Formats: sequence, C-alpha cells, structure tokens
Amino acid sequence: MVSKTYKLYARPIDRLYELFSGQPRHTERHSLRDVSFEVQHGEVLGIIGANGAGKSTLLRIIASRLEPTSGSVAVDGSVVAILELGTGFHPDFTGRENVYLGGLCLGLTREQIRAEMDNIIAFSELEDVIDTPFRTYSTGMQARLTFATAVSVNPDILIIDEALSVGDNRFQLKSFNKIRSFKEAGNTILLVTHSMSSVATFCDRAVLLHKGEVVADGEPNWVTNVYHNLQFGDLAIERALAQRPSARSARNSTVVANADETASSAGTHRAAIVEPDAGNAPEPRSAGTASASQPKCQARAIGEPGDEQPIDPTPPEPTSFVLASPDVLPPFDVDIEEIDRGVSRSYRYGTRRALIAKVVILDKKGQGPIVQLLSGEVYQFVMDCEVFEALDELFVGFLVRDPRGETLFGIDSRVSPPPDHHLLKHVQPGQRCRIVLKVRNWLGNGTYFVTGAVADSLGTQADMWFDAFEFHVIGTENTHTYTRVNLQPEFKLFALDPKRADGIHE
Amino acid sequence: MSKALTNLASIAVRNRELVWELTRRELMQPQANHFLGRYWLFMHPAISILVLFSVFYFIYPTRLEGMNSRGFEVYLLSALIPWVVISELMARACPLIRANTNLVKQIVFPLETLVIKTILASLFVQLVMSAVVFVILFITSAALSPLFLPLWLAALVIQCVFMLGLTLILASITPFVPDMEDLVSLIARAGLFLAPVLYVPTMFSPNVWRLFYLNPFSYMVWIHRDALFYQTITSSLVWAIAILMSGLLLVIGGSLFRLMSPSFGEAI
Repeated sequence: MVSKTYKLYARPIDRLYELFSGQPRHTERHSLRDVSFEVQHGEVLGIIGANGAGKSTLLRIIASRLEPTSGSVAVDGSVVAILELGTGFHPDFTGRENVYLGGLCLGLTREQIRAEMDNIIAFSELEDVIDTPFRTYSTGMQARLTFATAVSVNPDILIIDEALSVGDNRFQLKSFNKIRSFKEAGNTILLVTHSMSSVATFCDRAVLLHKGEVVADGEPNWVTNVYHNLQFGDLAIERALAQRPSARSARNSTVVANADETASSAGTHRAAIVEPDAGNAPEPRSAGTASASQPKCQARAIGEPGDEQPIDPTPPEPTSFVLASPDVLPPFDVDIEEIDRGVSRSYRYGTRRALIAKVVILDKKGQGPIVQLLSGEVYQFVMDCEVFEALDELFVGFLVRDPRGETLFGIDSRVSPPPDHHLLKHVQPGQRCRIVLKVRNWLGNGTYFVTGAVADSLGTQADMWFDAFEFHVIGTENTHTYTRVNLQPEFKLFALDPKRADGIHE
Repeated sequence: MSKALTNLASIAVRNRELVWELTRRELMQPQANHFLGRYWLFMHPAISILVLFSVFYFIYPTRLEGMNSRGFEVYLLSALIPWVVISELMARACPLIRANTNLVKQIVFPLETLVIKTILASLFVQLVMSAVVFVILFITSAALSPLFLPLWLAALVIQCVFMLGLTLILASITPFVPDMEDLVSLIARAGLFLAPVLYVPTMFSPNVWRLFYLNPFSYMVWIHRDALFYQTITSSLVWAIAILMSGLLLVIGGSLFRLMSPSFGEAI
C-alpha cells in the first residue's frame, strides 16, 4: 500500500518554521493513496490516467527516485527508467560523446557502450552527423539519438514515461518494434502513456490511476474503457466501475496468482460493454499471449457465427439520422467550461446560438458510451444540443477525424436530411434535441475523434465542437496494423490446373 | 556512520567510469568548442598562479623577517591555492543537486558520483596550480626539505576529505534551504580575509591571531603552508585538528547525504 503525500509550503521559510516550532505550516497533496499491485516477470503493464493522477509519482517511487510517504516497493531485478529522454546530454558535445555519457548515466558500463555504440548510431540513423556537436541537430534528430541511447540499455525492468512518441512516423514504428522485441525477450515493462492504442497493443494489463488511487486494474481494453468513461463520458467513477462487478475486488489486489483470473473476467466484461447479450464468453487468456488473443475475444464476443462463415453477411445499413423527440430527453445543463475541462484535444467555436451538450458513441442497442469500437459493427453517434435563440432551421452534422486532424467522414442534415427533419425547423429557445446518426464502422485500427456541429439556417456555425469524443477502433484481425479501413478481407486460393478449361483445380 | 562511508566508497568504485566521464565533462564543458579547447584547462590555473607569482617576485619583492629564505610569494601561494580551490568548490557544491534536476528526478542515478566528480574536478585545478608552484620552488628556492613532498601529499589528502565532507553537507542542505547558496558565496568572498591567507603573524598581536583558530578553513591553509613554505610541521596541534575535523565533516556529510538524498526529488 504505497502512499505519497507532498507537503506544499506557501513560502520556503514555512518549512524552517515548521521544523523548529513543530506546528504544521503546510498543506498536503495526496498524490498517491494506498496504491498496491504486483507486476510479474515478463509482464507489460500500462499505467494510464489523467494529468495529475499520480502516474509519474508512482514511476518515480518504483524507480526509487522518490520515497513513498508510507508503504514500500519491492523490486527484483535491475531497473532502468526512461522518465525523460536526453539525461546527461549536453549540446556542445558531439553525438558520440553524448551517447557515451548518456549511456553511463543510464547505468551502462564503458564496454557495454562501446559494444552498443554502432547499434545505437545505426538505430538513430545519424551516422553522417554523429561526430558533430549535438546542438547542430534538429529537434527530431536529437530525440532519435536520445531514444536510441535509452533503449540500448537492457535491464530486467524498463520504465518508460511517455517517451515513445519521438521522431517521424517511420522512426516511431521502429521505436515500437524495439520495445516489442524487448517485451518478447521476456523483460518487464512499465509504460505510462496517453496513447490508448499503445496500451491496447503492448500491454498485458493496465492500471488506471484517478486522483492517486488505483480505480481499475486488469485487462487493457476494459481499463481504457473505464478511463474514457471517466474522461469523456459523464460517468461518475462509481458508475464507471460498477460496469464490472468484480472491479472492486480487483482493486488493491496484491496476489499475483489473481492476475490472470482478474484479466479474464475483465475480458468477459469488456465484451459485455460491446454487446451485452453476447452468448460466447471469451477464452481465458494466458499472460504471455495476451495481445495475440485480444482480437479473438472481441470477434467472438460480438457473436460471429463461427470459423466456417468468417464474413458478416448482413449488408451495411444506410447511414441515417434519427431525431429523438425532445420530451424523452433527460434534462441537461449546458456548461461549456465544464465540458471543455478535461477534454484537452478538442476545441470549439461558434455563435453559441445553439450549443452542443455532449457527443458520444453508443452501440446499436443504445448503450455506452463506447470508446473501443469494432470494425464492421453498427454504432450510433449521439449529439445532444440545446437552442438558445429562435432559428428558422437548425443544421446538425458530424465529422470523424484522425489524430492528425484529417477528416475521414463527414455528414450533415443539409446534405442528408433526416426523415423527420421538420423537428429541426423553427426551433425555439430552450428546445433540446438529440441527434442520432446510425453508422456502420468501416474504419480500421486506430484512434479517431467525432466532431459535432450545429449551425443556423444561414450555415453559420452556432457550435462547432472539434474532436469532442475520442474513440478507438479495433481493426479486422490479421491485417497490417496501419490498415485504415476495413475492406472485409477474405483470402481464397485456387490452384491452377492446366488440364481443365477454366484452369481451376477443385 | 561507517555505513555511510562504505556506501560512498562502494558507489565511487562501482561507478568509476561514470565518475571519470563526469569529471572529464565538468572540466571540458566550459571550453567545449573553443579553439584551444583543453589547453585552456591548464592555462587558466597556471597563468593565474604565474601572474600572482610575478607580481610578488618582480614588482613587490617581499622578504619575511625572521622566516626562511622563501619569499612572500611562496608564503601566499601555498595558502591561496587551497583556499581558492575550496571556496570555488563551495560555490559549486550548493547548487549541485538543483543543477542536475534531470539526473535526480528522472533516472536511477547514483547521486554521490556528482559529489565525487566535483571534488575530482577541483583537485585537477589544484594539481595544475601546485605544479606551477613546484616549478617556482625548484627554480627560486635554494634548498628543499625532504619532508616537502610527503607533507604536501598528506595535506592534500586531508584537504580532499575536508572538501568531500563539506560538499556532501552543502549539497544535502541547499535543496531544502536555498539561502545556503547566498550564505556560502558571502563566506567565500569574505573568507579570504577571515582566514590567515594574506596575513603574516607579525601583523597582529598574538591574541588577535588566535582568533584564526576559530575558523575551520584556517587549518587547511596552515597545513598547506607547513608543507610548501615551512616544509616542516610547525604545529602538531594544527595537523591533529585538521585531520579530526576533516574526518568528522566526512562522516557528518556522508550520513546527511544518505539521509537527505531520497527527498531531493521533492525539494527541487
């Protein structure tokens, strides 16, 4: 049960005063409260949580860079923590000299660095400039060299804090492969990240920290769902956790033997979020093959008929708007500041003659919010809004954009009028409406954002809320990881038979 | 207490490559990319000693009454060198932890190596300065006592222990009491006049001279003056106190650093 309390002093002299008078002169910030978990050899643990949740404090305590206020951490094996890149690097020295001291700072010996030097330089792809001063490098080149140095260390336990996203796309891919091979070598990794897809692809298990407490510990997909519900959905923490009955018992679990059991029950639960009445329970996974078995669980959970019929035969339903009658809507308050808070990526603008209260994705049964979408499934984009000035007509629309801001999909009620679009005409102040867009998700693997927009009759944006809702798509199985769309792949092989007229051999 | 010292020693031995590289960098960093690069490293201390020597040898030649044949320039330099090295070290010891925030906060790093490399870097400067003084002694001094070299080595070892203890203490306290830095820079500036560096005993009445015994830095000055100028032990008491004080400082410093280092991450 590790806890960490920071003593905050308004003035430095208060520290001295407290020391001599014995009277407390500080305010306390509980950065970690009773955090407890075990990580096994060879396990990759993702630690997620909002800014200030205590992730870095936790890593520092594990790396023995900070003393816990109470509790203790037992570490078996050598630890290297990459909490920051470029430790020990100095701009005036050459790249080679910096790799040297950087490596020593990370605990390598002179011989190890000498042996690794060529690999590090090759990995960073800076052969041409390695003997020029570090300051002459571009930021990306500096990041590449520091990263290459950091990952050349081969400890039993590697702690990485947000260090994976350096360099251009190609280099990122290389970095990920490096970490993956590290994982495959059976080493333990603790990974702090905001990238939900890294958690999903790398981690065997994830821990969600919220205000210094472990609120979820288990199967990565389930944990990321809880996290998103906390962040984007208006779910309270208790409700987020109540989604899984065993959630409470998973908290603070210190028994290593429980880890697998917890994970597999989480797997069942994650499936339940996607499709509550799915018949097939996923296989209990073993820790070693976690990431490999993930997509399989997903596929079974949505109730695919079986191996003999791998492609979903249902034709895609047309994308359609549905307008909910306003009187069935629960009352809601539009508080822009409240909404903006905690949604770091999104931004919004508009005349504010009408405002969006929320944008979420629900499954086809109307349950959610869903942040982990399956490719090929039907979902509902839901936007609640309220009108503040009388408008001749309210136009509504959605965009789906990728993390780079590229629009992949866009629709609005002007180009695709909903069946009962008269509901959007002559709207009066105080009127609320819920817009539901039914879609079949043909996106591939990756992270995407839903943008919601409401506009007045002249087309002027009343409220344009970019990237209001983040979601992740688990792509079709057995396609390349960079696959952006789902083309419903199905290989068929025919041996060519020269004896037959049509050339096909049965 | 002994645990703190063995801990310090084992860290130094285990990380000797890191210590060496850190020392090298500490010394080279100011001159990296300069045309004369590493030559500045030798030129700085050597030239400043040569200037001082020239002033007192050629411009104000001074003989000390009732003392040996060596001139005031040797009397002054023998004391000035340890003083300058110690005062510069103190100025670097205070911000040591804060200046290496990333090493303290971000990675698993043996912080003691920072203290040791600071001492080694100071020692290098002192060796260069002392080498110049040796050359001067050989040229200008008629007879050198056979005790001169062993005494100087002994004084140097005592001084190193003293500096190590002092640096450990200053580095441990300053993160929590940032004012330490100002205090120490004041001491370093005024200390030149509060320690018997520039003065000869005949300038004061014996009662006033005794006040120097209250200043811990006086002992470092005296043992070096014994070694280089008198080339004999003029007061065993001074040497005994110097040894005891240095050992005590090291023990206190080692324990304090061990006690405080886990909290550095929080304080900075």
